[in-house]
Amino acid sequence: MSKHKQPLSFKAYGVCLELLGIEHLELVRTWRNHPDVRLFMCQKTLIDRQNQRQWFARLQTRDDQLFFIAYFQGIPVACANLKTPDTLPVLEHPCPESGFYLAPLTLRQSMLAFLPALAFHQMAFQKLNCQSLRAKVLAANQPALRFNRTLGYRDQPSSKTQSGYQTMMLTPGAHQQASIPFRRFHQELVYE
Amino acid sequence: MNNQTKLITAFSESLAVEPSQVTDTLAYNSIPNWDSTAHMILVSTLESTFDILLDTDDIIDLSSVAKAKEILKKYGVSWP
Repeated sequence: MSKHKQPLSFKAYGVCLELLGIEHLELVRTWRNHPDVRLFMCQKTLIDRQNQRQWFARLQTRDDQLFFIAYFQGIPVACANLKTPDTLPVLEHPCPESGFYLAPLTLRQSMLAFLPALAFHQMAFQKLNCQSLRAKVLAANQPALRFNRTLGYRDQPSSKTQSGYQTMMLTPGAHQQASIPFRRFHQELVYE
Repeated sequence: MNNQTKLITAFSESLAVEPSQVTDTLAYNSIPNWDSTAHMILVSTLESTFDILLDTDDIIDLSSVAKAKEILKKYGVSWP
């Protein structure tokens, strides 16, 4: 196992983040295969159990990808990941690519949907020492673009290519600024 | 401006819908405009309009106009 796959957890905004484990796989697979989630993925194919197990086994040997599951009030609500484009370890890359999706039918239409994402970004900047985060979002996925902009991501000029993706960047300062409306949750919420 | 009008204005402006659409049956799953960002704006607008601070559980429950009325009532907002 990679040295970077040691137990890793983080708590903020009432959210607990922990590394994706084998016990989460089936749940995350049902999320990932749900039409609301799958349609906005780079790869839209359905994932079967065997493929996912093989992917997870490979993941354990790599340090250029970290996958997390987020719990809110004790309930798993989101999946997040950090990847590097050039096989550098995530923990050594100044600007890894971030990925995030919510469980279907949970917090999607609530402002609380921002909490797991804020906690994820807080972890990336505070615990993993990322200098910035990069996100690649389908240009047609307006809700995700709006979600990311509310979180402080800024569109990269002229990054929208014919591939139909918008590249966005998040800096620690923009994250701090975006977190201001949510600070009350940071203080109020308890962890279960 | 009475509380009913204030509520309609808050929903209408936060969710970018016509005031005529703001009825008790307007709920989070009934219009695409109601996403997490709109919900955040709605919570902030309701708090400033009625000078209150909603509890987290009430924010979770704030899923329709009818529910908003019920929640706001707990904070002393009265309805005709």
